[in-house]
Amino acid sequence: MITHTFQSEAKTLCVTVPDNVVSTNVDQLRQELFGLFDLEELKETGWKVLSLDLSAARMVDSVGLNLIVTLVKEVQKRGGKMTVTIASGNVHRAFLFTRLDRQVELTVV
Amino acid sequence: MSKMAGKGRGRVLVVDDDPMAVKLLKVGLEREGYTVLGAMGGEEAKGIVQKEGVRSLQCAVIDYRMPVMSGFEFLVWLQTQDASLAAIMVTAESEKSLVEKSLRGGAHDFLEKPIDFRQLLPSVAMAVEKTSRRRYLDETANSAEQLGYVQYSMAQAQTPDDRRRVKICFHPCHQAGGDFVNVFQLDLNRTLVMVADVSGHDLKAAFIGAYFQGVVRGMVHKETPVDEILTFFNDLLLSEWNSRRNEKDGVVEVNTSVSVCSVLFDWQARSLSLINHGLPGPLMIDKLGRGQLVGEQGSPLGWFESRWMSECRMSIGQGGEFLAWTDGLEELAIKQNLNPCSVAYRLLKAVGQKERQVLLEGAEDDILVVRVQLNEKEGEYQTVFWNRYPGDHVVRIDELQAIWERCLIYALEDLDLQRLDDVLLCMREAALNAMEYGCKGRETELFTMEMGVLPEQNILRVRVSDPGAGFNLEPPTSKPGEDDQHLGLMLIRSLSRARVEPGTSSIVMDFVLK
Repeated sequence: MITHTFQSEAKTLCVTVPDNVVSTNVDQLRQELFGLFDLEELKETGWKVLSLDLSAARMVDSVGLNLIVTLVKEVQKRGGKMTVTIASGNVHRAFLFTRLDRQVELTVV
Repeated sequence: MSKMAGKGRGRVLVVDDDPMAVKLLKVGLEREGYTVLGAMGGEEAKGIVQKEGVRSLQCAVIDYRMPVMSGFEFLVWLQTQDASLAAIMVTAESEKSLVEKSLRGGAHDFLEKPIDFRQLLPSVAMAVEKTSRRRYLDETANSAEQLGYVQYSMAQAQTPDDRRRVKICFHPCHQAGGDFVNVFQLDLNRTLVMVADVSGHDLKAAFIGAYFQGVVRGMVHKETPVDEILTFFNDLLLSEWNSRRNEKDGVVEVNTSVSVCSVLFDWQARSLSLINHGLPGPLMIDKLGRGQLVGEQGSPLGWFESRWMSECRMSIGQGGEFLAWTDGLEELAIKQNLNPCSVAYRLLKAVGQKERQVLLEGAEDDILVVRVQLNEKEGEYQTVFWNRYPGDHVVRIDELQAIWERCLIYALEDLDLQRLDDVLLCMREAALNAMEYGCKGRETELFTMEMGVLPEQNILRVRVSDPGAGFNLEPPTSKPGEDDQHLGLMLIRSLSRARVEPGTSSIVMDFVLK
C-alpha cells in the first residue's frame, strides 16, 4: 500500500512505494498511484512535482518500468515534473540502461 | 434437482468392492444426470480406465478399504494416468487418519460412510468442475508450449549459413517468452543480429515478439535500413499498443515496450554498427581478451515519440567475440552472486537441456544470451569474467576475491583447486597493484578485471588493466619486504606466465589448466 504526503512549500506530492515494482503488483500499484490524482484534497493543492520514493524497491522489472513511464508521461502532461529516489543498485542500473534517468530527476540514496 | 436438470453432467467412475454400494451410488448419481461406470475393486477399475480412456472421466469416487488393491493404491495409479482427474475418497469414520494421506495422494475430497447424498452430490459437482478447469489449464499450457516451440523454430530457421559464428542460448521463463533473437545474412559479407526483449514474460509478450519479428523480417527483406525499422516499430508501438486511454481515468497506458539491440557486422570491412534501445550493454572482446562495453543505450521502443539515436560504429579487429544478453541473465547472475559473463559462458557451453535447466534454476525472467564469434576460426578466447572496479576498493579485496573464486569455480568446473589458489593469489596481487599504483586509490579511477579461456591451448588468461602509466615485470633491485609492489609482482611472475602488454598498464597472466 503506497503512502503519500504533500509538501506545500515545494508544491511536491511525495509518494512512497513500499515494495518492488514488478509485473505481479503493477496493477495494484497503478490503481493506487493514479487514484491519488483523483483525490479532491490533492487536486486542490495544485502540486507540481511528483516525488516517487522507490528506496524500498530491490527490483523494478520491465512491466514496472512501463508503469513508471506511464506516470512520467501523465505528470508531464499535467505540466509537472517527477523525481525518483532509489536505493538499490539493480534498480539504478535499470534506470540507467533504459535512459529513464533522462526523464526524471534521479536521487540515489 | 430434477433428473433432466442434471442430464449429461459428466462421467463418474465408482470403485467399491461392495456391489450394493456401487449400485446405490450408480442409481443416485444417474438420477442426477451423471453417467456412471461401476467397478468392483481396483483391478476392474483399472481395466475400465484403460478401455474407456481416463480423459473420458470427470470424477472418480473410490472406497478406501478394498481387498487386493486398496483405494489409496488405485488413487495413486489413477493420478499417474491423469493428474487432472479429481477423485473423492470414501472412508469409514474410524479411518479419519487416512484422510490426510489420501489428500496428499491427490484426492479432491473425502466422504464418510455411510454416504449421505446431500454431501456426495455437491462434492461430485465440484470435482467435475475442478477436472474441467484443470484440463482447460493443461490445454492452455500445451498451447503455450507449442507457441514456445514455434518461437524456437523461428530462431533456428533463420540462422544464417555461417551459423557457426552465432551461438544462442534461449530459455523462456514459461512455455513461451518475450525474448528473441533474429539473425539475418544480408549478403556474403554482412550479418545482422537483433537481440530483443518484450516487456513482461507472458503470452502477450510472446505474441508481440512474433509480431515484431514478422515486421523486421519483412522490412529487412525489402532492404530497409535498421534505423528506419526501429523508428517504424517505435511509432507502431506508440500508436497501436501504447495509445489506449484507461477507461476509468483517461490515462494513456504504456503497456508494451521492446528492448532491442541491433548489430550489423560487416565481415569484409571488419566493423560493426550497433544501436541499443534498452538492453544491458553488450561486450566486445578482441582476440587478445581485451573487453569493452559497446555503444550507448537508449530507451526501449514504445516509450517515447523521439528515439535517441545512439548508433555506434567500431572496428572488430581480427577476431574475438561479441556478447549480448537480455536483463534476465543479469538478474540471475545477481541472484547467484556471479558475473554475467560467467553465467553466459556456462550457458553457451552447456550440453543439453538438462544441464541448462540446472544452471538456470532460480531464473525469474526469460533469458537470452548471444555470442557472435568475430573470426571464422573457432577456439579463440572466450570470456569468463569482465568487470570494472573503482580504485578505492582496497578494503573490499576479500569480497572481490570471493566473487572471482565463485565465478571461476562456476565457469570452469574441472579447475584444479590447487591451481585455483595460484590464480586467485595472482589476481589479488595484480588488483591491489592496480588500485594502489594505477588508480592511486581514487574512487574515480577504474581498473578492469578480465578472465577468459583459450580452449585450444588449454589456458586460463587473466588480464588486469588500470589507467596508470604502466610498470615492468623485471626482477626488482629491492629486496622482498622493502617494496610491496615488487613482492606482489614477484609472486605473479613465479605462479603464472605473466607479461605486461607493451605501451599499456595491463598485466596479462596465463595459467595452464590441467
